[in-house]
Amino acid sequence: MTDTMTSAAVSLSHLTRTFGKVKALDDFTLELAPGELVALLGPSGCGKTTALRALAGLEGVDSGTMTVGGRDVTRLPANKRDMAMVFQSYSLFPHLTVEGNIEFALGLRKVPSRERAAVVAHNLELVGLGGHGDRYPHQLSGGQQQRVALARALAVRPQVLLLDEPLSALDAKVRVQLRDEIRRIQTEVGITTLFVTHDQEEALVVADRIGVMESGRLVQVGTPREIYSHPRTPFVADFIGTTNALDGHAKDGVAHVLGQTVPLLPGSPTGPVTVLVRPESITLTPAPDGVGTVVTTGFMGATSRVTVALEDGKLVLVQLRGSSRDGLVPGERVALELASIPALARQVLAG
Amino acid sequence: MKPRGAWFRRIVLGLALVYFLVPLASLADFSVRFPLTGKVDAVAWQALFGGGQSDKLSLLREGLANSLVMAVMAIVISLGLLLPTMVLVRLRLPRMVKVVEFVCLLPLTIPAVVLVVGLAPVYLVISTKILDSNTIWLAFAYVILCLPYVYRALDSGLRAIDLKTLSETARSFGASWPTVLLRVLVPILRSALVSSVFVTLAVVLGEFTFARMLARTNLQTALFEINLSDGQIAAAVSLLVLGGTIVLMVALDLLVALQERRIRPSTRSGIS
Repeated sequence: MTDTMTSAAVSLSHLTRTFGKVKALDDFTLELAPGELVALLGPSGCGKTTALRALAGLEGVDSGTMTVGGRDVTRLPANKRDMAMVFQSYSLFPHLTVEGNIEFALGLRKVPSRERAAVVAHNLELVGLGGHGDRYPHQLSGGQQQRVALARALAVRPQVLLLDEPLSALDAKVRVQLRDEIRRIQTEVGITTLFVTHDQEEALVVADRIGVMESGRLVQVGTPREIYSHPRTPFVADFIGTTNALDGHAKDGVAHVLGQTVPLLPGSPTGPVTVLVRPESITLTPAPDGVGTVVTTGFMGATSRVTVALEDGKLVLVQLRGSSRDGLVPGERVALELASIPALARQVLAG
Repeated sequence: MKPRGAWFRRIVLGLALVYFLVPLASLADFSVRFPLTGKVDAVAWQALFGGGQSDKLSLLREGLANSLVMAVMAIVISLGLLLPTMVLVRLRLPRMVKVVEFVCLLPLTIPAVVLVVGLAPVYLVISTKILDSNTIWLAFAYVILCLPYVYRALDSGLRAIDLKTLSETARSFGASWPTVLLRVLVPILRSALVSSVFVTLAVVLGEFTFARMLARTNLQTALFEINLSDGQIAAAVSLLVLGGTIVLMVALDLLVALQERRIRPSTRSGIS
């Protein structure tokens, strides 16, 4: 049996959706190429789940159009859209076994009954649950239940796979395992996937592209590297990864910060600015006449984090590789060196 | 030594059993003992099972048949009406949940006699202009009587499941709304539905006021009529109906428990 699915291009164009006075979707436009995995990322209430549910047909839109494989699905009910969704809360039918759950979905998609057993077995193998077909959902762990939900969604060979925070209910270790598996399986079967999450690390690891949302609007869409290295707005810079907001003065595409020069990303303002610098773009050296004092140090395995207090009391977070924090102790004076990596600056607001 | 709690539970259980069984034993005794002489015979039971065709027996058969047909009708109508409504309201109009609850619980607060006074003109129209005077149309009124109990049973069932996600999952896989209801929610809500069936059956088989005041024949009015002339047969039939209902309910309960055990065995073998 071949794993390759007929994946479809998806186009969400100028979608708006209002709940009372809240604009859950505000002129939301996003294109997904066939076989692409796009993650929608944003804080709670930013509209990412509304966008996913609108595509699934579970939520209506006030205006805008949605097409899947060139077919306009905007007014189609959920059960006619040829999609499959995996929810945060597993959503397995409790009265059916694992096999029963998948067979039920296959039956709804009119897959001939003689083919169902093979499809069920194949998809359970795909998610690493071969031999668990006769179990009931309550006999499985959370991670296993979510794998079954994924197998069920893949079994029906939908044009689009929708994942609504599928890892949020799982514990940390299982979350990482399943996250990697979702990416492996999605690449293997090549299905167009929209993945909603509030976890930036999850989005950075699994997605071909990330769409960052704020207040119903898509503020930036790009590859994980683009989003991380070239955030278009301070919100994106703040939301993706950790940033230090350092006072500086911008002129001619560079900013002067802590007595050093940092190149700025295009679109940065001039004059008094706050420069957003990643913790890993700063290095430390012990120096009695340095600009900061070590406050705390923390070992994180592959990296270490050091908090440094500047003379004006502001705290700066520095991320160092491996054991390079060895020897640093709280109270020690250090010099900070900013890497020559383009950073984003935002205007300092008056008052 | 047994803990004190265990003894207390046994005493309470014993008292409850005495409370329920003494009237039943008295009923059984009355059905076989001639009241004036105290002589024990089985005349009433022989009349019931002797294949006789007396007027009393045919009245009883008619009453029992009507009550059973009405019970089935009331079960079908109340569940057919309430289950989709409650699901729809919870999914689409959550603000209306309290309104539906209020309407469904209203019959509890209105005495049957008051209800029947209001229903009398309605049934006059039903009898003369829409349908006929057949007793079974009383089932519509019994639906109103059963609403609070059916609502409560379904409400507890719906509260126990993630209705929104389950129905959305089924919808996203291509299920129409009837499929969601019949193939997803009905099996999951099996216990709640069986509870509704039990309570509707019990209410309809025991209903007297509506039938008597609207001059229809159901089981209870037939028993009342017979009791006026032959108390022993009425007692024997009451006992039979009660026994039959209990056997039916226990059988249904066991069936559901068996199904539930298949789905949720007591020994968990989950893998973490």
